Amino acid sequence: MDFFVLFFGAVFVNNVVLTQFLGVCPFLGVSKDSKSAIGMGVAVVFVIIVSSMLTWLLNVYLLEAFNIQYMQTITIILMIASIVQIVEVLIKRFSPKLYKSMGVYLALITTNCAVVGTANNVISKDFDILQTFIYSAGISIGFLFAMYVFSTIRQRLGIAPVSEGFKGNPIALITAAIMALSLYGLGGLV
Amino acid sequence: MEYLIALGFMAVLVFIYMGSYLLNKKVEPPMKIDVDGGCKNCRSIGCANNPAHHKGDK
Repeated sequence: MDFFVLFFGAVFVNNVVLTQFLGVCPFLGVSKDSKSAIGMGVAVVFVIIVSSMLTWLLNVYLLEAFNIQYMQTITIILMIASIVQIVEVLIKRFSPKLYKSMGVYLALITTNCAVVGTANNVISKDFDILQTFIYSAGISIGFLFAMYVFSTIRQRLGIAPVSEGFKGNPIALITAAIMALSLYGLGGLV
Repeated sequence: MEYLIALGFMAVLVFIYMGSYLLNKKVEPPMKIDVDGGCKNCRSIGCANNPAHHKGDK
């Protein structure tokens, strides 16, 4: 039950984009069509889960063991950058189709603060390894959910009769605000 | 002693990053990907795929 609450909380109540306001750059930049949004979202799911698990392992078995916790931030940043590079190599070699669909978005994840934020949260909340997996999976699925829903709304907005002053980014930001408000309704549930 | 471990650890991390970056550069992409479609709206200057990085390329 606790794990379900943690997962549900990470996906909806503490949604990484709409509640914590992390990863807003790709949320606005890569959400013009749903195909790109899914590509970015899937890449983020993979990188957030792998980087959070590795961060937890390094923090417990190295940083805490040698009392060098002040290296946390630099460790997280360099590790995420390395993971992204390695994942890109693997995808290039073994799945050209997947590379074609998300190769561009993979490189962008290095600058996605949702990934850094999740790895940092995992450490600050004192999770164990299973909680880390469930939390990071929930957070990344929450990112994918927000990206997909926002992209489908933006596609509809593209053909909607929006007044000239609100076309483009203004109406997209208003939409994001309304989405964030709707998730605030779940506040206090978990 | 603690500082030496921290320095060594950082050197290992930097080495891993440089290695993975060079490896990624060395591996050719299986096909040319259309970066224009994906990079149109994102203004990330840190991304190597950003067309702004290749303005001077022939």
